[in-house]
Parts: sequence; structure tokens; C-alpha cells
Amino acid sequence: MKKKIIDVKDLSINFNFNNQLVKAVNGSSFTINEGECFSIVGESGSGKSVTAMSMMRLLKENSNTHIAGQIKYNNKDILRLNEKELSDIRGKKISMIFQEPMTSLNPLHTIKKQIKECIIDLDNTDKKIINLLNEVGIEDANERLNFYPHQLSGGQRQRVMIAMAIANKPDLLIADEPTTALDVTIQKQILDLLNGLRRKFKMSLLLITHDLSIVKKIADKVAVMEKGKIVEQGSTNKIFKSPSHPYTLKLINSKPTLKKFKSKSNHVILKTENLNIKYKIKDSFFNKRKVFFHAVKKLNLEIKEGQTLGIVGESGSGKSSLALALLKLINSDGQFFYNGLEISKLKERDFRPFRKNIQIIFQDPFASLSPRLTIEKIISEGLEIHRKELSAKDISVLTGDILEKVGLDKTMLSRYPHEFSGGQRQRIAIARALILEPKLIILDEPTSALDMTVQKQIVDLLLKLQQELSLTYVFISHDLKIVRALSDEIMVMKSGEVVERGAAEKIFLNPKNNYTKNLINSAFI
Amino acid sequence: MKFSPLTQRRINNFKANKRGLYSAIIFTIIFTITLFAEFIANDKPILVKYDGGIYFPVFERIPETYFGGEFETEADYKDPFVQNLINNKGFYLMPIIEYSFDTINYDLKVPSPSAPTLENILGTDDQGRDVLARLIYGFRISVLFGLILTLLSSFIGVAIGGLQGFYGGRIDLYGQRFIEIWSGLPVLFLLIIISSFIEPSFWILLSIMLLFSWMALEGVVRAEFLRARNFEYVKAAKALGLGNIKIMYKHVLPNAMVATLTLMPFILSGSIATLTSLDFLGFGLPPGSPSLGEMVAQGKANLQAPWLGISAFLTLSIQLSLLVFVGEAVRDAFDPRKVF
Repeated sequence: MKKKIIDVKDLSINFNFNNQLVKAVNGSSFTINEGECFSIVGESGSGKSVTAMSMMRLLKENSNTHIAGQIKYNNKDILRLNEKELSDIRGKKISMIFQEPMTSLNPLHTIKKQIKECIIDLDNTDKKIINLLNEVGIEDANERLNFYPHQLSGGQRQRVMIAMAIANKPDLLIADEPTTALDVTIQKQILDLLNGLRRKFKMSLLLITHDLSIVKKIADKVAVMEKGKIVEQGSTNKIFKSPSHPYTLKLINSKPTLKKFKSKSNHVILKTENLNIKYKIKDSFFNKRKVFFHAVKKLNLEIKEGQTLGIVGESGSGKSSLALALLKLINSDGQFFYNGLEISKLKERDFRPFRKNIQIIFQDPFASLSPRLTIEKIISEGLEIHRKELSAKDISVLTGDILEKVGLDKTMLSRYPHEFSGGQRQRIAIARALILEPKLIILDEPTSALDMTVQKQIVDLLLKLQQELSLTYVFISHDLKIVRALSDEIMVMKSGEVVERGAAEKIFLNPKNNYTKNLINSAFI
Repeated sequence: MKFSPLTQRRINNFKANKRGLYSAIIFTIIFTITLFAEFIANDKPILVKYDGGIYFPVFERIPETYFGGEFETEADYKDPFVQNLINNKGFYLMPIIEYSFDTINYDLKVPSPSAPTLENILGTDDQGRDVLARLIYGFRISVLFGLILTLLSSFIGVAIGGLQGFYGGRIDLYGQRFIEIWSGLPVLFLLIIISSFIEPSFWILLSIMLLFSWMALEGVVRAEFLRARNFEYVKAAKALGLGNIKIMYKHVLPNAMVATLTLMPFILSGSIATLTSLDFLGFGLPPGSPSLGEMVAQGKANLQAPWLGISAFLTLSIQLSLLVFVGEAVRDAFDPRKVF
């Protein structure tokens, strides 16, 4: 029997929200043993992060926050310790890393200074810091000591965060969605690092995530949370092999179904020739010398009617710039053709009639709907421009129909965006694009801001719509699982250039390029 | 009327600030009363019943001969002779205060400025005019001046700031340089110079001040537009094919309105204070107009008559405090951190 590090009993956390009681965590109990990787999975809002925060007592108990139950660390109840006793535990015995490496480091201090803050024993700190940085796999640690956070990439920052967390060799490391904000290849590196460090220092790891593939790979035990309750827990093998709770089953089965139908059309709907996108990053008033950032370099692509072109690549590869350029929302050089007609040189006024044929759906459904308009106004906006002949009554019938088509109810028309969940909002965004009966829809990471189960629903909806309305999609994503489900053809981009392209299954089964191989390996762990 | 939930929440936030709410109510009451100043403080009767006919001298000019007097000029209702004529064949009803802002009380027993009496509740100024009547008219003219100036300068500021922010680039660059130079011009000296060769009327004064006051809002609106033009729902609207003007009006402007409405009450009190200080220096409204600034100047010139200075001071400070309190409540109402 291994030693228990953490013993949580009947933990309940309630928030008072506008005089409404929100049960964020509702009577959870679990134990974490020494050297074990324990994982809490669940969708957003299920109470995972709140559980983690309460283990460090980062939640302040006040009139609006009530914490009950006990969290025992080495037979001391963390919830009943005073500030001084707490500071002996925080960062020394239990430490934590957060989701967003961009904001969890202080931009005004060097990483050396920030790591130094965590070290208790102040002899030979420089050497210790270098050792730590080597430990978390930062190369040239000597030179990087005096770097500021902005000089490091996202993955490197997360490594620095980990270095800070393990500085005092804690018994427990809490990792709250440590890889969600990172690119797939870096996700894999960080996970391997965490797992390696756990073995090396014999510490326990509490991993909080929504991504089941991560859990499957490194967790020993899993607890599934739904709406503040732990609905099922047990060893990883058992949970994945024979899940007993329907919610767990739903989570495990939330992989998107594959696209089955094929379009037979050979008609090229969109074509680009030598498309270049440049951003001016340095401009001088007196000098003619200008510095450009080349986001997309000499890109050629062809999309056939009714097909899906998946564009994959890490952040900064120029995917989103390409989407915006195809819609003429940003300037670009080179030519592109819609149905054989050159549209790249058209003035905005002349291009406007084409706009109804090419629509876009953005990544963040919380930002893409104007908070001040009702759903009806948001959806019908395009009709008022492109189909002026319609009467108000026709418009309202059409908006109602399209809302039902994307799986929402007509009665929701008079509501405002904030009353909807992320998935519902994305459906509204799809409805807004669909009402103009477009031929081509550009999907710019439409699922990456959503939970796994919702992702599956949206992908299923997109597939259904494509079949019914014979739509053409350009699907941009860094999530290879979803790209695989949706795409007929795939284009892999790296720093503005296409490194590999071809039929989807061929690329997934037999990637030629090393970069592609690496991407696929990291995505399907 | 149905408000969007956001507006509803803002109204509730506004109401939650009791000081601001009551200030707004009090200010509205005072302002509404002064809007009807002619019916409250006037040297003409509100209503005259004479020989079976009913007349409203506030609106119409009735010669003295009409009542059987001798002069063709408008009847002087303060004249006991005219009063007798009317009373013989009917009656007349005077306002509560029987003086307009420019009525000189010739019946004063003491040299003007005279101390408060039952006849002139706040006394008279150094030309024998009723102080209370002048305050009522002065309050009205200063608030109206402030309101018109605020609305016009907000409109111009929002329009220019919006164009600069939305289009950015060259328009923004040259616009900003122009504003830097324009805001460096000394407004006060300009006004002094201009008022030395033309007599500034209400509208001339307003337009000169307008030339410079629109810049107060331009900056924040520009910043809001710069930020909002990259919002995804703005991009989505552009992808739908909306024209720039429509996008600005429908999607971007609502964002900028928050900053605009928050600043407006403060611009209003600022405009009032500016007008008052110009009047105080003698470069404001033409001589004889009822203005609070001129009253303050009189108070300074006649320290032996404290009712002048005190009444002007109290009126001004109450007026400006009320506006600032309302402004604070509006700022609270639009504070995004007060969402929950």
C-alpha cells in the first residue's frame, strides 16, 4: 500500500452569484498516492479547476464563497491551516502550473529572478537555476537566464513555469490544463517532460484536463467530473475499458465521426495562384526601408465543389491569414479565382455581390457575435444587404428556418448571445453564414474553443450540412483528429509555406514530410 | 418599452447610485422649471382678462392704447396707471416673481444693489434688477449653452474619432498631427481677440467654443474604433458584405458610445464652467444677458452686497455638483466591471 499524499473528503464549494447558489463542487472525495498521476477530466464548468485551486487554498472563503469538507495533506487539513502554515506548503510541498503560459509569468522580470523567488535555500542559486532549466529541457540555460518572458516561446515559458514549480521538489504538482494553450507537437513534449519529472522526483501529479487522449497516455487513475460531481473514478485502464457512467461513455465516444460521402464534382470552385501575404512590421517615415513579415508565401491551392480542404499547421503558420485574405478582409498579392473569375483584383464595391457566396466562421463564438444584437438581428443581417427584395415577414421566416436547420429552436430568436453556451453560439454563427446560401464556407478553427462533446456535435452538424447543401469547406485547424474527420484533401503549412498536400487518408496513413510525421505522431498519442 | 438586457442592467446600475439618481431628478426638475422662466419671472402678466377677451402678454405684444392708455408702445404692466386701466374692465394675473431678468425696479427705496426684501427675495443687482429672476434665466441659458455645445461637440468628436480609428493609416496619422496642433491653440486668448472686434452673441460664442471642444471625445472614440475594428463580429459583418458606414454605425459605434456617454456629463459641466468664466471676465455673452458669470463679477465688484456673490456662488456650485454626481452615476452604469 502506497502512502497517501492527498486525501480529499466531501469537498463542496459553493459560490453565491447574484443571490443564486452555484454548486461548483458537490461532495467530491478522492485520494492521491505517492508518485501517482491522478487525473481529473470533465468539460468546462465541471469544477475541475476550482477543485485544484482549493487544494492550494487559492480560493478565499468569504461571504460569496463557501468551502466545506476536508483536504488532508500528510494528515493536516489544508482547509483549516492559517496563512503561515499554508505558506510552508504552497510552492514547497504542493505547487501548481497553469494553463496560460503567456500570462502566468511576470513580463517585467527576467526568468532568473522569477525562478529565484521560488527557491528557499539561497546558496548557489545561479547554479541551481541552471540545473532546473536543464532539468526542464531548456537549452543554453546559461544564456537564457536573463531572458524576459516575451523572448521565449509558449512551450519554453511553460517549461519555465514547470521549473519554478519543481524548484523545491514538491510532493504534489498540480497541472491545470498545462498543454491546452500549446501547439500539438509542443503538447507532447511538455507531457513527456511532466511524466519524466514525476518518475525522477517521485512526486505525485494531479493533472486537470479535458483531453482524454492525454489522460489515457499518462494517468494512473482518473476521476470524471460532471457539474461539480465526481461521477466515476478508478484506474485509467478500467475507466477506458469499461466505463460505467453514461457521461464517461459520452466523453470517451466524443471522437467525431468520419466523413463518409464523397463529392464527385470536378468543378474547381476556388483557386489561388502565387498568393502572398505580407505584414509590415517596421515602417519609417523618412526612410523607404520597410521590414515585412511574410505570413503566406507563394501559395497555390485548388478546391473542388462539395469537398473539404483541411489546412493544418501550428500557430504562426499563416493559416488564419490565408482565410482572411481569401475573403479579402486583409490585403494580399497574387491572384485568386472564384468559379474561374478573378476576384483578387476587385474593388470592395464590386466584390460585395460575391460575399454572399463565400462565408467565414470564426474560432471564438464568444467574440464573433455582437453582444448588443438579438439572434434574429445577427442572423438576418446578411439578408438585408444581399436580398433587399425580401419583406420583413419573409426575413423572419427564413431566419427561423435556418435556426432550426442548425439545431436550435425558433423561439430563441429574440434572445441575446450571452444567453447561449459556446456550442449554441457556434451554431448561431453557422446559421448567420448559411442564410446567404453560400457555396464556400471558410471555417477558421471553429471547434477549438469548444468542449470535446460539443466539438463532436459541431463537426457532425457541419458534415450534415455539407451533404444536404453540397457546401464546400476550407477547414483550418491545428487539431488533426477533427481535420481527419472532415477533410477530403489536406494541406500542411509551416511558416507560410505548404510542406505537404494530398488526399486526407493518404497523408494520415503515409506522411512523407518529417514535419507532417511529427504533427501526426504528436496528435495521436 | 423593452430594453436589451445590457441596457436594462445599466439602468439598474444607474438607479443603484442613489446620489446620482436624486441629483438627476433634482436637476431635471430645476431645469424644467427654468425652461418656463417666462411664466415664473416676468414683468408681464401671464393672463389678462380685459373687456371680455383673454390675452397672454407673454406671447403677444399689446399696445397700451388697447387698454385705453396714451402710448402706442407695449403696455408697461408695472405702471400703476396701466394696472388701473386693466382692473377697471377685467383683471390680470402676474407671475410669482414680477420681474424679468432685465426689469429694473424703479421703486427701490435704497440705492442699488439693494438688500433682499419681500419684493426682491434675493435683493437686486447694481442696476436694480431682481437677482432671483436673473439667476433663473442665467441657469437656463448656461445649461442650454452647455447642452448644445456638448451635443454638437460630441457629434463632431465621435464622427472624426470614428473615421480616424476605423480607417487608421494615413487618415489617422494626419488627423492626429492636426489635432496636436489645433489643441495647442490658446482658446481663451482667441476668444478675447475675437470679442474685441465683434460682439459675441450666444451662437458665435458657441461656434468658437465648438471649434475646440470636440477634441475632448475624439481620442477615446478613436481608441475604441481602433480596437473594435478588429473584433471578430466586425470582421464577420464585413464578410457578410456590410458597407463600412453601416459596420461603423451598427457594430463599432455601440462600443464607443460607452466612453462617449460616460464623458458627456463631465463635458457638460466643463462647458458651463467655461461659459461662466468667460462671462466673469467680460468676454462672454453680450452685456445685459442674464449670466451666472456676470453675477459673480458683480458680487466681486460689490463686496458690500454679499447677496450677489452668495446667490451666484450657490447656484453655480449646486448646478455643477448635481451634474458631476449624475456623471458619476452614468460612469458607474457603464462600468463593465460591475457586470455582476
